[in-house]
Amino acid sequence: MANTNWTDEALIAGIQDGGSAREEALKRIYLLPGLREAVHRHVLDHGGSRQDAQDIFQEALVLLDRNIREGRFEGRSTLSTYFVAIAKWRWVTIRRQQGRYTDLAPAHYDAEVESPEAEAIRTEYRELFQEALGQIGDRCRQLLQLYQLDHSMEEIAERMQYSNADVAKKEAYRCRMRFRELLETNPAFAALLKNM
Amino acid sequence: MNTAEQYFEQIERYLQGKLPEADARALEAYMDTDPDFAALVQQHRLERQGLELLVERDLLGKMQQWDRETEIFQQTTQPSRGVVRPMRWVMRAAAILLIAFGTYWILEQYDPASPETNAPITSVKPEIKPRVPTVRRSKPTPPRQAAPAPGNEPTSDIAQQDPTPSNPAPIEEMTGANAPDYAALANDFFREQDFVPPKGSKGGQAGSAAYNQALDNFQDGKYNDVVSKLKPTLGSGTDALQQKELMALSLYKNKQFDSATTYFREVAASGKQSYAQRAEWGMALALLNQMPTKKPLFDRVMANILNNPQHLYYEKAKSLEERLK
Repeated sequence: MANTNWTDEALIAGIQDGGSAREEALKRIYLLPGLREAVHRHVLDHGGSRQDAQDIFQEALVLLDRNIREGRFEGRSTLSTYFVAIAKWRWVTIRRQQGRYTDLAPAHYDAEVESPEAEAIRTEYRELFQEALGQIGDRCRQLLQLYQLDHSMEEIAERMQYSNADVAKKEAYRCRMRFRELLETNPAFAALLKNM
Repeated sequence: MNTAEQYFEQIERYLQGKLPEADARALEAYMDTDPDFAALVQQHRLERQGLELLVERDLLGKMQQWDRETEIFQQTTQPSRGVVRPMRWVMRAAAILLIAFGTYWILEQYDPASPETNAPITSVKPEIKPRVPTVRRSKPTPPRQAAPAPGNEPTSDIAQQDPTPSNPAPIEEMTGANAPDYAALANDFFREQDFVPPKGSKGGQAGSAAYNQALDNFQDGKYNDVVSKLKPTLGSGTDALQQKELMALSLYKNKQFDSATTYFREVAASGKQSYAQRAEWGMALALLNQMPTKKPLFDRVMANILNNPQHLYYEKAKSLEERLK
């Protein structure tokens, strides 16, 4: 049943619950009046274009979702403040990557989004991951996405039409090993592992 | 479950923070003593970061879908131009006539030099220029087929398209005696085999028992049966999209175009490309049946299709556009 009383707690619980509850909560945040405008205003005021602003707004939702799922949001501020903080942090990071030094004043962001190491890996090895994901097949991609979103094996079995949770588990393992093999055959990934 | 799988599961649970505290500490202690195991955990961590791309891509697709839904919703909640605009013109004309008559009356009352007999107001009726309708009826020609080929889906994402509509012709220009027979035009372009496999064929996607039964009913022309059969379970199950599509088609066949549009729109917003593009075409035809009232939304949906040459129904939409010129 749709949640009509969207407090911060309900939104967080929705994202952590996964499935349709997560989607509904994220949609609610995405369409929250004033939130998009706040992010756009910040980016436009700090040297960005409208397209930059929209990209940052969307990236902020991706990061918010990930942080909440991984239990990194500690509830020290409201969710919308946290969201804007993530967007500001993201914009500062991008400006720095573009060689435009931007001072990291506390006013810019009060959210720890992810470690610089994880950020670097995600950016630098994005293509590498994408290439491997592109080769594992539709079924495996769908299964691993559900798995990554913490769906139970029973749910995965139902959604993917496997006969039971054990079969789903075997398939998840098989898909994951396929992903691993594809990564391991890539010299760039091997180098990354070696240097860690 | 073999040892490798057990390790795998243990590491996954550790990285997900689901391992009991004591087990997590034990695993960390083991990592300290075995560099190979520590490297394996690190590899898991990296892979999980890579898999986040799947979640990210899915979420970005959803955001575009939400933007699109919101735009379409805003479009449909705007007052119908077909009704409001002529009313505005009538009111404006009435206001001008009222002011003209009032001015005339005042001048007549207060100007002693005014002649007793003035020319009647009707003699100053404004000249109305005849308008050429922008849409003319043309002789129907069979549309070209562009059957969707499973597994041959274009890579461009429909949800990423800019749905900027072309400047629509004013509604009032389309309501003249020369307006086309939209229903007949839609009928020319609607091909059942574009949406469902013909009866007895091996094509199509197998769905649940309920869906397959409903499909049989549809192919037998029992559209009311399809609606009543699908309604209780609609939106659930793994074949939810197929069910919604069949529902939309049955409503279309029943000439319930408004309801059909709603279901087509839901399927179009699903992000599943072949379904979404088929639903967009269905939506365009349902809206065509409701012309000129639904012209703004019709133009928008058509623009979506026509802006994407990879769209499965691009050729058909082009052909329809030609016929509407």
